[in-house]
Amino acid sequence: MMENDDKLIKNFLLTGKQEVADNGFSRQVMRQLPSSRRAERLSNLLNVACTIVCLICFYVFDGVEVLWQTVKELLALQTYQLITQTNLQTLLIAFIVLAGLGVQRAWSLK
Amino acid sequence: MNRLNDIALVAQVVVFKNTRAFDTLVKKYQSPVRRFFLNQTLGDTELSDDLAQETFLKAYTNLASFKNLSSFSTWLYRIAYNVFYDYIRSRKETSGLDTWEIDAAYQTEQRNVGEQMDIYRGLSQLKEAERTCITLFYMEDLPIEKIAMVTGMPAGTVKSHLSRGKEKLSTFLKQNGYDGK
Repeated sequence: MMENDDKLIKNFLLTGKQEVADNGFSRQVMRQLPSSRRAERLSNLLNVACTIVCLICFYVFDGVEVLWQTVKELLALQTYQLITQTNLQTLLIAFIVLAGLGVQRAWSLK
Repeated sequence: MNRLNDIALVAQVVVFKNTRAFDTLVKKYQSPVRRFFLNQTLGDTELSDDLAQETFLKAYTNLASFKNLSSFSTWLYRIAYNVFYDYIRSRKETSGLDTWEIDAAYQTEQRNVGEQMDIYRGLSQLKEAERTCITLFYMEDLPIEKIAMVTGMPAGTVKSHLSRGKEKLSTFLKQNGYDGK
């Protein structure tokens, strides 16, 4: 009798035993793991440390001076090119036209 | 072999903080753990998933304390059991209901999904401790000694719960014309 009841209950319960599909459950669990926040903190710390090291290196190896020299050379080169390759006549005509337009505009505003 | 695999994965997580190893464990045990909660909550999917997530998070944070005295699955079920009963206690504290009243309240409204609804109707006849023992014994195939480890009850108490649970269930099934075929 007891054996029959046992079989009855087992059959009944096993019909309800189904595999539960993941459906993103494990991904959700992994997203909430505390270590992911720890990894983010470590990553931020690393970023800050690298920035500080770069700034120190920039100062130690005279980065400001190097940067300033580069900018000066660039400006000098561009100025030279502007002077040697620009047609001064055309530039003068353009300046006169622009000045005329400017005066006309100022006069119309009165 | 199965147990060795679990131990190897646990070691990966504890020693090397290998989260992929933990992901493997989650994927492996998410079905039985969620099914355990579905049976205890009589089919409340949302609540079951919340409790199951809490179980895995607790398992992860306490993984270093897993001493391999029992299998990983038994240890995980123990956490699940504690999570469920903590939830029950907190509900009891806020609602002031007695255990048997909570059991009745747990009979959640279910769509008629045939046999699945019958399972939960049948399980709703049992007290929580009986339901836990019956589902772990018949559905998860845990022997009495392991159920005792999971629940923290003596083996004799587990046997009593099983016996009472079987009696109630078989009465319910016979009254509802279930013949086991």
